Amino acid sequence: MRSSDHTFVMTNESFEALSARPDAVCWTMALTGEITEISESIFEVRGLTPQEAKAQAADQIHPPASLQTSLAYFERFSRALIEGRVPEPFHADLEYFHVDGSLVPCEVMALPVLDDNGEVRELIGVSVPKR
Amino acid sequence: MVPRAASRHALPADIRTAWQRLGQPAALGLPVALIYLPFAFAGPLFIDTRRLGGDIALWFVVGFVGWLALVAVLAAGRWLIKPLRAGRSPATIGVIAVSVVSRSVALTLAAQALGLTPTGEFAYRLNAAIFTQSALLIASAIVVSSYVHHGQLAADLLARERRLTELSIESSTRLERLRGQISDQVRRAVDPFITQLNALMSTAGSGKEGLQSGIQQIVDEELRPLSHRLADAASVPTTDVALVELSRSARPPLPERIPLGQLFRPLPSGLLAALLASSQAVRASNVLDGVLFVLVLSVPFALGLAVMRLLLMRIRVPVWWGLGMVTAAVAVMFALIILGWEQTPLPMPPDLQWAAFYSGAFIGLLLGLEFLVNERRTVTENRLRESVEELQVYSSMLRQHEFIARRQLSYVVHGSVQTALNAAAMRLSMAQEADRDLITTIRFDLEAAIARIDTSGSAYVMLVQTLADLVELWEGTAQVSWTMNHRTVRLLAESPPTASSVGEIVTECTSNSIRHGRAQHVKVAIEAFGDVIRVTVIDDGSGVPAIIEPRLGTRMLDELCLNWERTSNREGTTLIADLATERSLLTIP
Repeated sequence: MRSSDHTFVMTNESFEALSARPDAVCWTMALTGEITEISESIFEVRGLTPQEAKAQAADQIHPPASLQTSLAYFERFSRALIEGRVPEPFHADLEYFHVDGSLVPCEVMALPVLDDNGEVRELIGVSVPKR
Repeated sequence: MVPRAASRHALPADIRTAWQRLGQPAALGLPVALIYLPFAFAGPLFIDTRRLGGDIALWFVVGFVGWLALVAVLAAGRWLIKPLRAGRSPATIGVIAVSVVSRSVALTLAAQALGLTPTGEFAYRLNAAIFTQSALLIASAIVVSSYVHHGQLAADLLARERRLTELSIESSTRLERLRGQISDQVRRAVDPFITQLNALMSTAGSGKEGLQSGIQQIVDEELRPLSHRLADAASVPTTDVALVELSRSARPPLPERIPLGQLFRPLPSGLLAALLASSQAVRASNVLDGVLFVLVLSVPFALGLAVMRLLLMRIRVPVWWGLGMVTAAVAVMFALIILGWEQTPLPMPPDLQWAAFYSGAFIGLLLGLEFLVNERRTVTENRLRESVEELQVYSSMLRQHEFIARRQLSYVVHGSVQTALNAAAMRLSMAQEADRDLITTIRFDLEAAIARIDTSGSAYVMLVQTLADLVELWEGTAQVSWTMNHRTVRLLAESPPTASSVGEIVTECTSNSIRHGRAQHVKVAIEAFGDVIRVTVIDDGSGVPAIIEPRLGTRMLDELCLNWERTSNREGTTLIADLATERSLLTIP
């Protein structure tokens, strides 16, 4: 935990900067892998309502390469939790499917959210379309 | 799990179950005759004594002779139908019919012989046998057979629960033993080499050429076959469970209290009452009076019990108290109906009050017992079903652990140990002379490689990377795509053997699709259904040739999966495999 504090703070600043962008889509993911919250701005980015986006299967969200990146991170994230480590943050470029079939490249950052006891509660993320 | 089509039956489940129970050997056993014993004396002691007069002791003898005839036929019938593999239920009914007719013959002859009646009244007794005694005997047979069947179920349940405990202990022991055996085997193979290394140190390096060829020999003749044996060996913890000796303690205990109303059974009671009345209806002067007698006895009886059932459903009483109460209540009600109708001008055969009381008690007790046996059987069956499911999941997880452990051992032997030996051979060939430092380094590397065999625990396989590597491996030959969601990833991350098993299955099936089925496209879907992982592999290949099909990963699928199925048609082949996860064990009730 101590060794990752530094990373956490640095990434947190970047995360706040990214999420302050007007076209940023913020989302949260439960430790079980379910998307729990998505901001309304998802409609501007992918043409979907938050409810529609939450109901999508993983391969309806990302094309294969991005799906692999996303799942590989979540696999490392899950293993870290199981082994009692604080998971690393995530920062990568991912592509999302738009409702019209086009691809939307986004900069994505995700951070584990810790509670007062230092336990990971959920994953919070932000996806911002690349200009 | 792979969904199965629901079965359709024309008959209600209760009747089907009762029919099956009649086919069991216990349906013709001595306990059936003993349960029937009070009834065997009902007619001679309570009806014939009043109807025909005579010494009650002689009528007792008549009843006993009739019962003995019935027991003899039941025993002979049980022996005769024992070899039957089908049609045992109708055969049992046939034996019961013959037994009650034999009893009628015996009663007739005994009554005549003892001078109690000049004719013996065979027609009257035959009628009673056909309508009444056979039905009572069948009801007794179902109750006894259900009780015995329940005992077998309970013993099976106990055996499976014991097996589960044993499996959990066995599993760790087996893996430890396996590691120990492999470690010993590798050490035995490598020890001569170590000895030669020590000798080399004392001879200042002369003879290292012999050592190099010795290494090759160890790799070719010992380690490589051992590695293959490990990878191919089938090792399945058995789920076969030997039935333990019938044990009363195996049966789940009766509930402390039950709703009293549940013990009142209006429909079967009314049916039995009608059958009892039928045997006396022949004493009526005409058919209409006989039918009326049956109806006035059975219909109010059934309605009265239905009302009591409704009224008493909310009253909970201790089980044995409840059984006593229902026996007394049904007996009194049956007798009161007879007494009541005797006060009316309706035709009624005389002298039936005591017989009605006695028969009512028997009906109440028999059907109350039948309810309790069935209720306990349902509880046991549910527990058994859960236990079987638990055992399957547990065994499947153990097989996954063993399979992965053997694979890992194989990799260690094939990889680390062989690599250490090959590296030793190369170092020896490159060195001018085998000095003490070189030999120490070689020994250290080799010991470290062998020590990996003893390292327990399974490392987690990064499944997403394995799948990505698979796509890359076949790029240019076939298009492999896969899909999974975050929830599935999480579930697999919690269950390392399952993640490894999924990786093995997908790798094997994809390889088979492309190499043997010449598929151009292979789609893999890995999904979580509850706590079970389903792997679906769909290809557009020509299918696996039947001649080699059984060898292609079938054993691996048998070992790793809860169940699996492969179907082929013109469009290609689909494999569906369900795997247990560590979490499956936690959620089993």
